Amino acid sequence: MILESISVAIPEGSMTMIIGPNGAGKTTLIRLILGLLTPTSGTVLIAGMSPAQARSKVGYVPQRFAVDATIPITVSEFLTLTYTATAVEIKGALAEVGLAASIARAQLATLSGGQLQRVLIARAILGRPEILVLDEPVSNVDAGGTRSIYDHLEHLRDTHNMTIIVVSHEMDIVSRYASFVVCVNRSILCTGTAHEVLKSEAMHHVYGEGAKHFHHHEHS
Amino acid sequence: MELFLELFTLPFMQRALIAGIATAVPLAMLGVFVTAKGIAFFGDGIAHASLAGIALGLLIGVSPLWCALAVAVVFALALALLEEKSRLKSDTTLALLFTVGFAVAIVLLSMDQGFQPDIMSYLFGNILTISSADLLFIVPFAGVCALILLALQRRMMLLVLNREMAWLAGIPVAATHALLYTLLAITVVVAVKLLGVVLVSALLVIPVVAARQWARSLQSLFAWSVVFAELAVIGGLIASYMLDLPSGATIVLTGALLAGIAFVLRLRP
Repeated sequence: MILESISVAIPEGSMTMIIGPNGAGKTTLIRLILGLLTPTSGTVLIAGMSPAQARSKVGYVPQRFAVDATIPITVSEFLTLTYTATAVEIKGALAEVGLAASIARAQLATLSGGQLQRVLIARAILGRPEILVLDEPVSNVDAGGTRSIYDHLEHLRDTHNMTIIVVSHEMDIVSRYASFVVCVNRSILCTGTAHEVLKSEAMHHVYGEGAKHFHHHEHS
Repeated sequence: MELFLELFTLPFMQRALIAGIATAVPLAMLGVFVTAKGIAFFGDGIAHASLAGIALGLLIGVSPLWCALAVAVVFALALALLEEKSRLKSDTTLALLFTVGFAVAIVLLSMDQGFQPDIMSYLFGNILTISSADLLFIVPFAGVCALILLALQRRMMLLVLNREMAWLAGIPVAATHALLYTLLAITVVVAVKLLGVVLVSALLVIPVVAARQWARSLQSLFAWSVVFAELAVIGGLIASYMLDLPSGATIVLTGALLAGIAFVLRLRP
């Protein structure tokens, strides 16, 4: 996916949501922020550093993550694959995403979609990131679980002053949780608060009549 | 009983046991990675490709194992590079390199007129052919591979599970990927004399299958895989000697029997 004319500053400590239609380049934008892709022109800066230099400051929750049941890796083992963490720290990270300490002994392959997403977030926060990037984190999670995960993300942002960047398709989630929204469709269409973006002409252009509903929902 | 005790006094059996015990450790550990990555046939592909090196060595009169090692490492690095730089899947690139290597081996062997008794031992494994010089090749390489795997076990597992997360964790992903494939290539070649080109990959997979029946964590999977690989190698070598059977096939069948027993015991209420 080719992105052009991308110029955006993501506010520190914000819950930024990247929205746009399928194939708009949302994941490409995430990969540029993470440093997994290099822009053909221009630069990506994270707190004044290149993404490669800022790696230790960034936590990441991928869109797709699956473990073959042949590998009985436990949650505790997964959380400490590259981080050194005590049992207390593991328990704390799990609690921050709403999981009981006992899940540390469970095998990753046996977890539900929602539990796995929470474990992935717990792993990311064990690295004490300043920025947490999540690529469609609730695609395999039911509505109740989705709300709960976003409540925990909001709590993380508030308690750790973390900047959270999320790719999302759920406009009701965007209107409820986002403090800053970036609307992408091969280039930046608009940025601003959820209120500003959801009522913008660009949103109506991309999402048609459906955007009115989201706008309406925001005020309900 | 006399026959059983006698086998431990025979120099060629001692050499085979030392080679087998040393090789089983990295084979079993690597088996966990190839299973997690879904490339169970990697060992098979590399072993067949390394046959080109064995054929070259036999043709020009240079140590076939060293030639096989060089060819296998080149193939493994080419495979890692193709995976990094192309959009081809692992099994596609593996099939490509495996068949090319095998074709090169057939062409080289056809250049050498007459029957090739040595090639049979490389194809199917022969404990009688493991010399003291081979031990000096097998044991250090197997030991170094096992130590590197032990040191980088967790980083390699994160890379296998998710490349992006590994990169963000500060792991040099391309280099670690190439190192994992190089260790696989070295270990496969090191095991060729014992198990043969045709069967060497079985000892990557069978111990993990057996271990999975008991393991409840990643660490226990590694530990049980090594235990089952050692049991398969030692039991297989003893059975091979006592029943006068080819070592490679007997080791693989012993491993399969152990995996079957582990499976049945797990099912037992």
